[in-house]
Amino acid sequence: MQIVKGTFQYAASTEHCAAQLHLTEQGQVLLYAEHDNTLLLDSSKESYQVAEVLPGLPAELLFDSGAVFSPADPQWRWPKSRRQNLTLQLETSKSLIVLSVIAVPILLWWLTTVGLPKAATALVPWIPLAVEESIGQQSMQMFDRTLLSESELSPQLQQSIRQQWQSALEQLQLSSGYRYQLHFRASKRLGANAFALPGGYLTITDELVKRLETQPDAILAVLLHEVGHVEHRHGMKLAAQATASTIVMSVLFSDLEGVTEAVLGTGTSLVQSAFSRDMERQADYFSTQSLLKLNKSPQAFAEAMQALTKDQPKEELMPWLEYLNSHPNTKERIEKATQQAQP
Amino acid sequence: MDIHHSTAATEVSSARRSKVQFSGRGAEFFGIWIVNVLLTIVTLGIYSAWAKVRTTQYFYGHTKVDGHSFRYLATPIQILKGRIIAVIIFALISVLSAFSPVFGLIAALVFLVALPWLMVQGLKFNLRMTSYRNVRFGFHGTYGPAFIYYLLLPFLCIFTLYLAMPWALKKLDHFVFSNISFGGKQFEVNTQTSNYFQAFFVALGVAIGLGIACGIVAAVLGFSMPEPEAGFSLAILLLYIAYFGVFMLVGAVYQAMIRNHLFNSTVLPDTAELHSNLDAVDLVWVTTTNMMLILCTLGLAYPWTKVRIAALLASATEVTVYPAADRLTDPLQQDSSAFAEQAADLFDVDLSLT
Repeated sequence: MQIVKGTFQYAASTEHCAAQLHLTEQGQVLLYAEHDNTLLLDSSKESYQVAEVLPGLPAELLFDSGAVFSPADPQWRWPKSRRQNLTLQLETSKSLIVLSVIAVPILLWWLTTVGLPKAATALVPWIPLAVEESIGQQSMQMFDRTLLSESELSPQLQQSIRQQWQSALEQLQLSSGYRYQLHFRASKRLGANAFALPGGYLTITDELVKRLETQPDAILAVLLHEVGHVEHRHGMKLAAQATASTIVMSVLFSDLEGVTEAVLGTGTSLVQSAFSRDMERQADYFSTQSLLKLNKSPQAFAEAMQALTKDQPKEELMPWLEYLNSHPNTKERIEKATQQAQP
Repeated sequence: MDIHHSTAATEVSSARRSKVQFSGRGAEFFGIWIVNVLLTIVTLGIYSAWAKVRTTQYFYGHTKVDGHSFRYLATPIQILKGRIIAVIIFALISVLSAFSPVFGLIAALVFLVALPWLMVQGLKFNLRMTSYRNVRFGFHGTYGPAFIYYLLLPFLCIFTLYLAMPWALKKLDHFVFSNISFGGKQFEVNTQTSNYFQAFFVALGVAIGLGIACGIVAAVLGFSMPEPEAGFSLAILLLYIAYFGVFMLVGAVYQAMIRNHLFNSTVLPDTAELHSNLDAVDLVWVTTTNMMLILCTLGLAYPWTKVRIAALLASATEVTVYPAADRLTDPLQQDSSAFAEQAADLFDVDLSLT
């Protein structure tokens, strides 16, 4: 028989008293009040259980009646409660803690750089084209209402760009089945720019066309870059990855406060801009390869890049800012295109 | 509980006042935390429910008022159910709003309307799952007032250019704390609007002062760069960091002042009084160094920061306990009809938004 000193807590009441617990070989529990030795409780093995034990805290006995016995010694452990203490053993095992310290950062790194992008890439083919098209259409309407206005280019110019682009698409014979639409729009705020929305909605700004007016192949190269984004379903992949990483982060670190969340958020967005830089490289490659298929020189892409960055600030000023950038370094992009121009 | 006037007088004289004790240790909690994170990743998030219960049990168990610790009674399955529901709803809304932005707008409106209900459910669950000396806490707030204090008043404050915000926050705190009960008694809160305004203006003053100082430093450093563009980027980056820093410091100052006032104005009638003398400087120091620790260790110091803040808050808190506290009973457990049990089982999921 074992004797344990502790506190007896009455069921559903703040009343308590110092008590002595007698535990028999059969698991029967007899509780006596410390001050007058009256029998408080007589409980068989079936009508109590050991509560989950936490590091540094006493192992409490919970009785079916709702009463609780709390041993005075926080180190005291009940016999035959090893199963209940499994979590405790894991949490206090030095080797597992060391293993976790090594494994957790590696797993988190893998999850954000490989696991989630892969999962997003695998998930996206399951999204029907019709959904992508409806997303693209709705986003296009929203852009039209907010950022874009009617193009001021002459109909002849629009027509010639459109024709060159359409014949290029026909020659390339893309098998994905997107119904591509090319929109000419003016936008002071976007400046010289082009973008693709899911489902094949391409937009090119007047400012960009004007800058490349004398180089039709360069315009085509830019458009093919955007086609590359659509063909690789980059918009959907980014959206899927953002959703997945939001869920993962909120499940893993649900109880984090502001500051830590901001730090982790910055980390995730850095990884996401790396992901988006990879996408830009993929789209660049698609463009230059398509140009080769059309018997044009990938140099057209390099020229487009050069013309577009003519009056932009030098990127070499702060090399570390590159990690914040969603696009790769322009020099790198031009060099890659030039390399493919001279096989 | 019926106390006669004459006995009440003697009871007051035998009241005992003591500091809240916190006995958690950083190294100990680190083991719990890191192992739980590993298990959570390995089980693809499922273990996070168990992790939440373990963490809460650790902090409750190590917090002692008048020599007795708190207990967290929620089971991991209850937490898991709540999380699964949240993830399903979140996924459904994301997918459906991808199909139609109109649906997204409707979903956002529905969420807004449901927000006070979710807050009330969260408080109800968390307090029902908190017990002290074998008696559970309770929350009795309802949707109507919750809607007014969580949504309507803050919204109306926009039209006062947020000048009435301290008053709205006072109303909200009053709603939350005066609806908490323990052993069949409800907390009484006698907070003053003037104290909320005072805390608000002190925090505002600190914010303006720090904002000007940070602006000057960023401008000086920015102009000292050789290239104007680089100087501009540097200044923007510095201001971005300062933005978080200032928010944190000001938040700490406000939090300390409001906590002290709220605790010192709150009593459980005839049973207990709360006292708080949290020094804003201490809170600012612990919060700032906590942030540094987390940044320098890439998050690994997180358990120590949690323990440090819990220890600070405990050491700044005292509770006066009257003898009546030794004879309270739990009304919830006494008349638990079969229906109440069933309803509790159905709705006993953690829907709190944390």
